[in-house]
Amino acid sequence: MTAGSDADLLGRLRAADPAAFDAVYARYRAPLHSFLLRLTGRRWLAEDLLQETWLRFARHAVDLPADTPLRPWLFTVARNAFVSHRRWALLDADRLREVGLLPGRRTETPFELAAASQTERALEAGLAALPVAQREVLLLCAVERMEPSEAAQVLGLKPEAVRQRLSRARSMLAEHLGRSERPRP
Amino acid sequence: MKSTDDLASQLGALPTSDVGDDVARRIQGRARVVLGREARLAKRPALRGASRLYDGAVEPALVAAACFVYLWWALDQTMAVFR
Repeated sequence: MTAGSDADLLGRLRAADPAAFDAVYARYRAPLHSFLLRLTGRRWLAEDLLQETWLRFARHAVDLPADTPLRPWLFTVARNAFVSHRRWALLDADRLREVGLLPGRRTETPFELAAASQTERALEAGLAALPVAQREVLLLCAVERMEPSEAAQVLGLKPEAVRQRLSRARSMLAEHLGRSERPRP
Repeated sequence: MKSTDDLASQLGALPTSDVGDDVARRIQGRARVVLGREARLAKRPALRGASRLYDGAVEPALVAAACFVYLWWALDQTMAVFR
């Protein structure tokens, strides 16, 4: 059976077709997990938020308007789950480290540990070192290759604001990579 | 320093990471249960409204009230030790 376009799948989902749900799940599970894993840096948390995303999708699938763009909708839910988690995790060790209340460097992300090359490892480390606002825009526009208008929908911003944030994020990442490539004295 | 074009292509080529088979099956199974329940409720709007109200307001309020009563009782017992 062919999976069909997102619009076809959404049409079938509105009739609560479980096969359409499986097709959407197969299509977006890995991209959503990667997005969440790069946002959180922790596998268990990414899995929790992924589950929350899919449960929310299942709860609302039959009500979604027929013209809903599925990919931005799913990434919006995943990102909102992450934002909500961050709001509650006030005493998270990474948050305390960010504001200088805890000593030591951040731990390596699963992507850094699994990197196949030095370049990939440096990119993953650079992404992980960026502030969340810059990281998420890079993940959506550069890694997921979303259009600025789609990313704007996910982030709740105007497309122009996304372009500006993206440009700043690219500069910060390039600067970070430049620093890490320079030999240490 | 890398050009932004280099960066964009390298970021676009980063690998994706999937969850393990067990986790994938577990999430899919739970989500399909929810989807099935929503499909059944969609045919009965009144029941669906009641279900949403229970999940969204009644249940959280009951849990919060239980926590409050327990906390009140625990504080009262602790203070009784020092009275």
